[in-house]
Amino acid sequence: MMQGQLSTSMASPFRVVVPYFIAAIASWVVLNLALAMIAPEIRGHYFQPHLLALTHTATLLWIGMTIMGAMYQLVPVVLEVPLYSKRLPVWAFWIYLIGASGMVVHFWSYAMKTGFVVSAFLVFVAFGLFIINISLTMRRVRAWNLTGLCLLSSLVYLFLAASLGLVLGVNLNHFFIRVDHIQHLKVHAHLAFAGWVTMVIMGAVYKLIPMFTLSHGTSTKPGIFAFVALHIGVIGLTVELLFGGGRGPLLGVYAGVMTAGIGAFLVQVALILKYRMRKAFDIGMKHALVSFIALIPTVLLGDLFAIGGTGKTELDERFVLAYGFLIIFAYISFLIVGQMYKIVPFLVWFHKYSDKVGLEPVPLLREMFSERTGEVQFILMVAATVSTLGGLLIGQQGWIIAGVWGLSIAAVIFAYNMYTVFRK
Amino acid sequence: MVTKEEVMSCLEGVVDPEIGINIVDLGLIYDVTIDDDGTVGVKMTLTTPGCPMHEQIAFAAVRTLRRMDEVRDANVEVVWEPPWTPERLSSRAKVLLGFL
Repeated sequence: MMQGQLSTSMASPFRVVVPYFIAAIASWVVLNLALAMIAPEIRGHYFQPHLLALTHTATLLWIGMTIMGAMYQLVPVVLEVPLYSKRLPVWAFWIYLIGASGMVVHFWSYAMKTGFVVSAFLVFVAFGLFIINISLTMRRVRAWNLTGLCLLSSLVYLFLAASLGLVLGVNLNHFFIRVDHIQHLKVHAHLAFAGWVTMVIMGAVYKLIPMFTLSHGTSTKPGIFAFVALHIGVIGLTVELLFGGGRGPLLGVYAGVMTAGIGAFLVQVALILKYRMRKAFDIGMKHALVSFIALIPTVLLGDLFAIGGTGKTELDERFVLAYGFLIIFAYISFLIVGQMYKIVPFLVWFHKYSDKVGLEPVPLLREMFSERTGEVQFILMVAATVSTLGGLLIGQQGWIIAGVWGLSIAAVIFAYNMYTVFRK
Repeated sequence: MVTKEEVMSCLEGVVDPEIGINIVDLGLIYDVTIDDDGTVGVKMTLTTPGCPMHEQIAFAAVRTLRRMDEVRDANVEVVWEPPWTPERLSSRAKVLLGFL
């Protein structure tokens, strides 16, 4: 008989979390292929129907699906509490899939009428179910850690970002409040990326990277500083953008605090990696490293906009597109793709082989997919990202087109590699 | 009667599916006891609390030990004190991890 309290007994069932990852991977392919199709349109102001549609494909279907799936899996295991409801995520998945897909379709044709409002409302409901489920799960936590606090904080920012997004979406064609849409759109994006997504990433990284690299004995002081500074920066910038007109000197101050927080986060990551026992970087860690490196130009560009931009409209428009691309494709997507190489094989392995361990030979996690194929995808994704980013920064359409097609091929290769995991 | 050395040798067949190194070389085994009736008790730890793969490692240890001819039953107790540290890695594990 086995004794002792083990965290896996808290793990969410396969059927609850896997649909989120399958939908996310499919969305990643659709996102990249669609981006390649509209490559010539990637210029000028970002408030364009197709760019809005693809931005929400990325944030809702790719990033949102992944985060919800990962948190349904991670929170019970890391915080050692059972998921409050295992039925809610199943309902929430379909509500979310229908709502988010509907939003993307309506953004694409810029039909912001009833269909869009219903879709946005469905997304809001699904996020609400997610937030309620995770909050009630966390209510049972007895021993809090930095990862838990980051994940809990992320729920608050998700609620704020989703609420503001719903209000703005409805208000586009059913005017009920007088607001500057572009200014509030910045707050919506800021709360989503800097608040929700970055808090999730910080929490996950503090737990997963030491676990995957066998890193022990690292001080968590930089991580705690990053947590506090990011909160001050995100809240301060939100208040300043909403009530300070978005041009005051405090904008630069709060951006500076956020930069310090991100800097501290990177110092924490560097410390974890310095004390790692597993010296070689596997395919998941290689992707994560690119994500961490990409944070540096991302934050610098953010700081540039906080102090007023370059003063040249055409240059600022290019830099805003580059900024958005860096956030979604370099910083967030590299980390997600890398962690998918860990999470998906684990989920399938756990489902198919956990009853067989000790009774018959079972594969290692890295044997669940082709590492060589993963390496090819990684190199192509890096090259394509650099090409697209370079093209956006200097206004070279050829580089952008080559880059986004490269990203599409890399996304298809990645999806194929994930498909082989399920077939294993 | 089975010996501690035979038990440890048997446990070398239990591999962490994420790291790819067996639990003995990872230094996860703290203690092995063998009762007169052939019941084996193993006190082991895991590299970090909250790793979702680890229950399977402990299950694998129990099942592997139960397959030994001279073992009547096997119990595995997972403990967190003292916590695992990298110093517990064997030289072979350090080489495999690229540390040496």
